[in-house]
Amino acid sequence: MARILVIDDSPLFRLVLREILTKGGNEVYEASTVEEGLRIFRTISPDLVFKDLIMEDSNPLEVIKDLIRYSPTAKIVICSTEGQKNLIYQAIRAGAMDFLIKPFNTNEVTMTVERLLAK
Amino acid sequence: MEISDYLRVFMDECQEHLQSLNSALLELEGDPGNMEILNSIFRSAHTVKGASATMGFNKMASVTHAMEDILGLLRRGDLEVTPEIINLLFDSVDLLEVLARGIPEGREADIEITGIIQRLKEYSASEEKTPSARDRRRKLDLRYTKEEKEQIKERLTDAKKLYHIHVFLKEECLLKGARAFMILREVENMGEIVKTIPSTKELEDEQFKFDFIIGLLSEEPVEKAVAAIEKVLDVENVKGTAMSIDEIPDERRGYGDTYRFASQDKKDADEPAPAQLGPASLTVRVDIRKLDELMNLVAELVINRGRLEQISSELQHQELEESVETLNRLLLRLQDDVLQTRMVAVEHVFSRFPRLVRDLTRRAGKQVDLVITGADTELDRTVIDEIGDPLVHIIRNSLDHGIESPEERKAVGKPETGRLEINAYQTGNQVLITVSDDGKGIDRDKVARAALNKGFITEERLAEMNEDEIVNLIFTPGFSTSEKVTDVSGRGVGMDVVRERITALGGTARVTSKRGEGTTVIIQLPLTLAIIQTLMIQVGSEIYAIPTGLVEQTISVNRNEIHRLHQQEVTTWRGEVLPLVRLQDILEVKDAKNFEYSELDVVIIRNGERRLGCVVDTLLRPQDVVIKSLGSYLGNIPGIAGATILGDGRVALILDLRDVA
Amino acid sequence: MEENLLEQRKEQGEAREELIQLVLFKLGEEEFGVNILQAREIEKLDQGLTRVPKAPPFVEGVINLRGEIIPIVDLRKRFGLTLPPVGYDSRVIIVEVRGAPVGMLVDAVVEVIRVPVSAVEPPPPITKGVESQYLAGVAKVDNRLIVLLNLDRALSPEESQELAEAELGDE
Repeated sequence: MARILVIDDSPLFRLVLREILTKGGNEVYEASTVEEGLRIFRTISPDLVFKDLIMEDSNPLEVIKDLIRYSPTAKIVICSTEGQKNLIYQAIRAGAMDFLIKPFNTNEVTMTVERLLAK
Repeated sequence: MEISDYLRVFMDECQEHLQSLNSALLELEGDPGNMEILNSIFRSAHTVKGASATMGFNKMASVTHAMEDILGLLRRGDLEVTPEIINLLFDSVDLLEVLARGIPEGREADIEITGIIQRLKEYSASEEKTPSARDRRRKLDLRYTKEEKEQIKERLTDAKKLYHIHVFLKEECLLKGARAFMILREVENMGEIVKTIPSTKELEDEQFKFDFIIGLLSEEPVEKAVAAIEKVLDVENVKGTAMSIDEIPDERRGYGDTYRFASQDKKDADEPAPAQLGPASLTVRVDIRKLDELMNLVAELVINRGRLEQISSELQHQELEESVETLNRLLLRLQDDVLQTRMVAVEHVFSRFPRLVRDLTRRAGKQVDLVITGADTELDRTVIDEIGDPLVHIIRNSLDHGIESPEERKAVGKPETGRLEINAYQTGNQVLITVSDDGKGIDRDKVARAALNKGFITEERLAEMNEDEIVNLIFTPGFSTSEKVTDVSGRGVGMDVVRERITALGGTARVTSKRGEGTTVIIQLPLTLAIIQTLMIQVGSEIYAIPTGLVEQTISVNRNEIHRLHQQEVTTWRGEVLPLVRLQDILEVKDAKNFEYSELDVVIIRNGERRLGCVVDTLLRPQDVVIKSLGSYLGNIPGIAGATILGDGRVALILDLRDVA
Repeated sequence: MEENLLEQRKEQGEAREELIQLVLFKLGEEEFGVNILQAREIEKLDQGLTRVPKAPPFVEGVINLRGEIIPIVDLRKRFGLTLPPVGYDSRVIIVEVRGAPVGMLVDAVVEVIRVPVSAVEPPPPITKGVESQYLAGVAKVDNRLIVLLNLDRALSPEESQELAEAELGDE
């Protein structure tokens, strides 16, 4: 069982991810803002983080760097819509391990989680 | 301008060019066909030649002249870049460094240079010819130039084989570039990527249809890489094939790029040549001591501002309050600007690492790929000056104790070539520098045993510690697991000293390590510093810092020279009555010792015309410290100007004794 | 246990109910909680404290946390509790009080749990020896009674006196 933190300001996507991830037997924590996400991250040290790429009041790349700063081994999966090619690309460069394009399906989420947790 | 000023400018410039010569030569070694690198080497040598001739350093001018000749041949393609030539150029740069070091001592003219000159001339006399025709065919078929083949062959062993991995992405894949990048990163863990088609740059820019080929040198079966790639989303199909290098047709120099020494700064390709830049920005060279002085003045202004604020709020004079507020704003800007002028790219420190790593690995018979990223990250000049040695030590540790010999690595199924990654980046007002190797990791049990033996921890404490905490015991003062000090591990400077240096800069150092997989040292540093000079003193068991700006003098007073005048201890100093105060009375220190002493150390504080002698237990040392605020929670505490962090990580308070005086 | 409970509730269609996440910690054997959103991080107290002359008496001193100076508050002294120390590994929970970081010295950090907002009730005048002015509420989870701190008040250096006086005046 892994600890997974979902940082997303959309309640819908939090719900979708929570459903998929808890069914997979994971312990899921949720944050609706970046600040909340960083706090929870520092408190529970999750095994995996799903981070909505673009959130209010934050530079997505800085957030990734912040997460990695607190835990250089942090595994971060970026979630985004299709339009953010460049940013996704930079996020991967900044240290995100994988990305999911919204909308995603159960299979994609499960595959990504399995792949990253196996590392 | 006096001659010594010219000399300083010349030396600075010279150092810069020698650094860039070193790093460019290393790049050239990894990418012998790269014209741009060759050009930059030529430019540096040319500049040094001109500058040294101007200054009358003829030996330096002769060596650079001979280098320029060879570089000219290389540029025209009349001579081929070979390992021998690279080594010769390295040797020449070494000699230039020796010459440069000799200049301030006036020894430049006495240094022997004929050996190198002769070797350089031999080459320029025997002009070899190499074909330079270019052939740009395009189809998805990974080929290598002759040089690349040579390099690959050098690296092939019984276990290490060349594989071509052909990856097909799904047609519906939305972000091919990012997926390709992830796949390359995945594959990098399995071995060494020698080349890709299309080039990594083109892959990243999505300039490909749906498939690409990776040339991989690996000791592990290609199936492992294939399996890892298959797990990545949007991958349609992966084919891995073992290749025989001799059966691959030659490619004349053309497309594709080599992936070694992947400095992510990417200055090379994307940046226009200097000549094409717009009007050059005006810069002035400033003596760093001037900046330090400026910084000190600003720091004292900041301390004084606090005092002024207090007075103005006590007086409740509106105009005064307004003008203090304005002063505040200006002071903040001034502080910011001064701090900015002190920022220097970490490249100044990092640029010497490729050469260091190359030399150390050669000596130790190891193979290591060094990857440096974020060299353009900026740090305060003081930090830059201080951070070099600790980093060198960490790198030496990695190369000496971390990364195994090729044989050992092979035996445990790792690629023979180890990997050392140095990464810097800014996050918030901190800069993070990480040094990671894929070596054998830190032996936790050995660390635990040593810590027990040396009495650093108890069995009970050890039982409670997790893996990370145990590994971090290597930072304990006096700790060192290495029984013998090898040349590579450095002259006995341990990780405790590393941590001490970094904590003194207001930063932190920690380490994570996995047995068999490698070690990462993470250094966190403040972006900017406010530094003041202080005198460290001790009262009882507590250490305090007194800004030297407030200190008139330190004296020693015999207890017989102390008298009482209206309940107040006084002594005479320079014919005047000097009131004394025992610092423990002001600071509520309970375990002060100075009552027992017959000779007392006294720090004379001056506030305008008034003076006060502060009796301490011990005068420790003068020290430049980084001022930190106690934070808004504690707010203004009378007599305390701020805090600083000592070498051992503890906090010492900075005293502002003017209120007392 | 709670996990299953929550799981069941969710399946019963109560998934919409708002949950808060609490960091549980101990002072003596008593359990207290703070909203995870207020906690910045949790650290071991493995370095010496530096005493600050003339600081409020419940401020034990300051520590260096990654280059930042953090005041450490002893909650026992703050609340005037006489709970015996229990020999756990002391921890410091770094929280923010009006934007300034403060470390709360606690005996142990137990876990992070999720509690439905509806389980939090207003505090009785005195709970586990702590006056209600410092509390945000109490939460009943299974058989446990978790006391939630009102950090702004519990840690405020200035207002404590006034609050205490105001409280007395009311009575």
